[in-house]
Amino acid sequence: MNRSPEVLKFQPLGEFTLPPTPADETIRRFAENIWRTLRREKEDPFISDDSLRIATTRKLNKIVPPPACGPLLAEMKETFSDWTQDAEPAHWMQLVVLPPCDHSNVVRSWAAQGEHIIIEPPDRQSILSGAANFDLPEATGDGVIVIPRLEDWFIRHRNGLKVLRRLLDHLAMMQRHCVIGCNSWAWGFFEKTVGADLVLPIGVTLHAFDADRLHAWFSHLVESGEAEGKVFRLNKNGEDIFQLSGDEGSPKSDYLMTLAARSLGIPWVAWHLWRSSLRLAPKDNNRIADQFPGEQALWVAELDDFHLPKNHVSTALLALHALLLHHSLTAEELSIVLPSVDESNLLVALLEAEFVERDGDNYYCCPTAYPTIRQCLNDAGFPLDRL
Amino acid sequence: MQNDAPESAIEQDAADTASDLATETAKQASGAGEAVADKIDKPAQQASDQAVQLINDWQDISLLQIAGIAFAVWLAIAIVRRLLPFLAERGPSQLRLYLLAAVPIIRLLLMTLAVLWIIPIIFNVTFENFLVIAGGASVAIGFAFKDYVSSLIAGVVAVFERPYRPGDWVEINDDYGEVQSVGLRAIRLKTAADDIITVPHLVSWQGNISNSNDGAQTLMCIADFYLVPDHDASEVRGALRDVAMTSAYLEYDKPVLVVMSEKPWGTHYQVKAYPFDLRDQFVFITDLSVRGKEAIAELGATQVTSPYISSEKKSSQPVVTF
Repeated sequence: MNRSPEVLKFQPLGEFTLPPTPADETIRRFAENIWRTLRREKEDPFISDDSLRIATTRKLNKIVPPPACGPLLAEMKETFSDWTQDAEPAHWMQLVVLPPCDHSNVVRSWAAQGEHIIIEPPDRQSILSGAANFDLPEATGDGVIVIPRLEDWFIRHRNGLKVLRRLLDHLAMMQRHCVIGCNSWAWGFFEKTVGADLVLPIGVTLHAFDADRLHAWFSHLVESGEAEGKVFRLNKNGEDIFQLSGDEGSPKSDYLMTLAARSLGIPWVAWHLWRSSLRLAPKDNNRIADQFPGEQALWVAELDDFHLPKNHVSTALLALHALLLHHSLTAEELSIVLPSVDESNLLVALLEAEFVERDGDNYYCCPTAYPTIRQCLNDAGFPLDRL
Repeated sequence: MQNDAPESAIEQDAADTASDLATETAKQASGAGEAVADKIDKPAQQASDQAVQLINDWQDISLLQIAGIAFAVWLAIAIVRRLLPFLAERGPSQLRLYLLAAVPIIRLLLMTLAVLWIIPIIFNVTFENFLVIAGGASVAIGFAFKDYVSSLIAGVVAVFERPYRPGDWVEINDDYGEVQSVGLRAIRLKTAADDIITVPHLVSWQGNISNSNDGAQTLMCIADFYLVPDHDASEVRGALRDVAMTSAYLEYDKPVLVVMSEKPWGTHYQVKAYPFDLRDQFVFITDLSVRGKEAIAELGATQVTSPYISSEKKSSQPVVTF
């Protein structure tokens, strides 16, 4: 099932290519958008989604274990291994621009693995009040300094850019290895507002996860998890999603190709979407027993489409855009960065619609909803991220 | 007497012969003249008949066909006028202005098609008839429909010259609003106060039209601030720039400018920036104004207002008479 994975190096910013969408998926989504209101009947699936059981998070963690970043840590290590060893590099700084919703914090994980010096940001309240202080290591010295998320160093407010400007001024003086991580939405904002592209070098980013890369990663995950030996079948036609067309061919089913396109080539989005579509087989199902005797199968339901509630779309998009820029915000911080103050129930509605998730006081955009959010922001004319 | 008889017989013969010849010649001459006259008169007669027949025979005119063409074109225009704005409002904002701008062009093409289709059905199209119709129409237009036809022609010119398109924000004669539709004779503007203003195309030949976005997705918005001169101008300028930079409505690909000028009554700041959607222009200016005022207050600067004189005070002023 598994093919030897190739460890890629990160590529320069601007060379990220979206995986292609299968033609029938494109047509299906187009037709579905047109006829959604008519509630067109769908074909009978091999086994209906209603009869399948949704797996608990605990069970999912055993079947498809985290982290969601896949082989990125290895790729990042490969990308910077020579540079970190170089005593006189061409650039002292490296910028890593990654897509949003990276809850596994790839840059921080890489820094922790390499035992590099991680610079923590001040809290946002102190950034806002102007009282924020931060200590950077000496401008010269050994060891690699890492700022995992540059977006944690600002808040979109007239007083929220000062700390970021001070930080960039300090970084410009650095004569030691320094790696700065930033999400793609925040990077576009920083280029505009504080001219961060004048201080930092051209960034690097990941290669898009297409069907082949997803196949290699997911089959490796399955082998290392509790689901080893189980078969992952689509509930609509019973196809094995990992079966290859030849010994070294592409996956037979177009599920992974669809997943790659739907997730915009972002590994953690694909990982979350895949987990969210996994189902456990119903007990005592004769059809399954007859069709696949002696086989332990996990069922993969069709990918869900997300739709923003028709009311308050513009306000919801402003909130989601702000969350993408900052990675996470508290409700209070969100009200500071948004122009409208009369939408007190907005976050609750977005939580219920699974566009936003909550961790303590902090709100984040859901990785599974990110493709829909990005499409809606694009349709509404918002400035988008650029990879 | 006998000698006289033969002489008179010869004379008689000669006279008869001469008479026959004359008759024959006259006949020939008459035949040739008729042939020439026929050759000359027939086309003129035909042309004259055709010119008289301006409209085709009633039995040749299919009223059903005309009604069918008119209905089909009316239906197509009605569909286009509703469908394209519907799609424009619900589709991606990048396509909105293109879809709206296509409405008058499609309508003009459809109407031209209908007219070109119907005219040969009703009229006997010849050059002479064209001159007759043009002459009659010129008189009618000159006396009765001058302004109307002028507006129609200006409307056709406007479709191609595009001083305004549906979706543009224009100012015409102090009325500022979004072009809702471009009709044959006039355009309809929707102002920020939700008023609908109908402006004939004729004004495009007589006055200035200020188009704020000219088909673009965004337009420049300006927020004005008037401050007492006693303040740190560079601090205020920087703060106002950050106010614009951190607005949720900001278009990143356009510049942000803070322009300052000294006036006799204070310092005038203008924050110039672009929203990513031109429909957000008023909320964008409001956002800039609200947060700009906060920033100004935080920096300890003071906004100036024009001196206010109440009407009572005005009336109590002494009146000087001579």
